[in-house]
This record gives sequence, C-alpha cells and structure tokens, in this order.
Amino acid sequence: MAATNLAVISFDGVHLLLPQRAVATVEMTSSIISNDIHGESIGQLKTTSGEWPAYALQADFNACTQCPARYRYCVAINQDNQEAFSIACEEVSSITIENEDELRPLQTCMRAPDSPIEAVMLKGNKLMLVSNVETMQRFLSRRAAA
Amino acid sequence: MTASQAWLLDCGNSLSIAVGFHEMAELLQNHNSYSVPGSPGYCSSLLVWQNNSLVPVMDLAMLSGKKQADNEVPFVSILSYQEAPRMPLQHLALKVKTAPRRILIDDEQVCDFPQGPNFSLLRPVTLSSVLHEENAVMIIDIARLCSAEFRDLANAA
Repeated sequence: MAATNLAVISFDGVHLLLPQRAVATVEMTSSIISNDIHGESIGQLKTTSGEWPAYALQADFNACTQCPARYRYCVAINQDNQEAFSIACEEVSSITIENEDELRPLQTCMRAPDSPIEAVMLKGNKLMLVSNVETMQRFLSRRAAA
Repeated sequence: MTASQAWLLDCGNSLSIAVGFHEMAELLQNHNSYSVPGSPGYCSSLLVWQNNSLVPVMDLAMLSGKKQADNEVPFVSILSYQEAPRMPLQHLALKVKTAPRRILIDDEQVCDFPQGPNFSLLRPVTLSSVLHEENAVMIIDIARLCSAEFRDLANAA
C-alpha cells in the first residue's frame, strides 16, 4: 500500500490533517490582508502566486473574528490547482501514514452532515482530525455565507 | 414465564434506560476523552478503550437540554452492538451517573411509553417499555441509537 503524506495544521489544541499535496504554500499571517473580509474569514492571504480566503478557527471549529496573535502561520490550500482557502495556525508539519487503516472513520452517531471531520487518527496521546479539501472548503464556504 | 436479564442505566437528569444483558462490555470510571469538533453535542467526544479502539461517548441526558458536568456522570458503560447481522461489533460509551444494576424483566412488566420531554426523542429507538420499581424504563436498541436516522432526529430537535 502506498504511503500517504498529510499536512498537520495545529491551532488551539486541534490537529487538523489535510492531504500534503493540496498545500500550495505556507506564509506568515502578516501576509493576510484583513480589509478584504467575506463572511467569517479574517481576510485574504495574498502572495505573488495567488490569493486565498483566510480563516482562523477555534478548537470547536467556530471562526475567530480576528487572527489570534499566536497563530503565526497561514497554510494555503489548493483544490485542483485552484486557490481554495487558507487556515491560520500555530504550527504546521507533515506526517506519513504507511497504512491507511490508521485513519479511522468516525462512527455514524458522531458524523454530523455538516461536519468537516471525516476520520480521526490517534498519534501518541494526540487525536488528529482528518478532513479533505472538498469537505473543508464546503464547511468554510457555508460559514462564509452565514 | 421466563424473565430476561438486563442492565438498568441511570443516565442522569431522571433518565433511566435498560439495555440487553449481553450488550454491556465494561464499566469505566475516570476516563479521558478527546473532543471532536463538529459532532452532535450529545455525542461529541471519543475515548480510547482496550487495544487503542476509539469509542464515541454519548450523553443521553443532554438530549433533554441539560448539559451535565463530568463529575455528575462519572462512569461510562461500554456497550456493544452490530449495525446489522454479520457486521463487525461496534462500541458505544454511554455516560452514566451510577454503576449499572442488573435487573430481571418479563412480559408482565411491559407498560406504556413514558411521557415527558426527557423521553419523547427516544421513542424511535425504544424496543419496549417496562415498569421497574414503579418507574417506566425504556429498553433501548443500541444500534438504532447509533444510527444516522437518530442522529439527524436529535440534531433537528
């Protein structure tokens, strides 16, 4: 079985996993232009290679109205080579999953239809929350429309 | 008439239910759990059980609108169920206020479904109601309790 590389985006005690191949760039949150706000975004991450709506989330995945100072990085995520969204965070790293059985789908009773979390993974004493770009974008778009 | 064994579970907020005797796998106290954002409020965390199994933790009493502090419901009963015959066993950790009690129930105890806001939502997942010590107790189908139908019903309530 092929290994899977995942980005670990950590904020407010949460570790969110997204496919590493979807990461376009990692920038400092100082690159977020905050006078261009849509819905619950905190602005636009602008770089020479593109623009991504920027979101800062709390541990319960509610949006922050302002980017917390401890969120120093912003991870830009692409979908099919198009700018999708960016997430501000405290840390970003990557892990390689040798066996996809390590990713455990949430049981039905925990899977709310509008939740961005599809699976979880236990790594040491940390619970990693697994999403994918399409589901996460749909979740953030709904927040933008709210 | 043959009586069947069951477990009586006090879920808190005056909500007691019964489950089949063989559905109880273990009772845990002082467990650690992990929050899962985006999950329904009454089932929003996971605990690690046995060989690194991740088991959803459900607080049924929350469905009556009252959130209970962890010290009010210090135990969890690990329950086993199958979504369908020949499917693998799955588990649910149900928050309970006190250690479960083993009871005997028979057909003569069958009674009407209890009335009240704590109970109405559970009607679709109730196999039967029995009178035990002058209280109506719902016998719950764990698989239905963990189904998408019940999750959506509870979310809409």
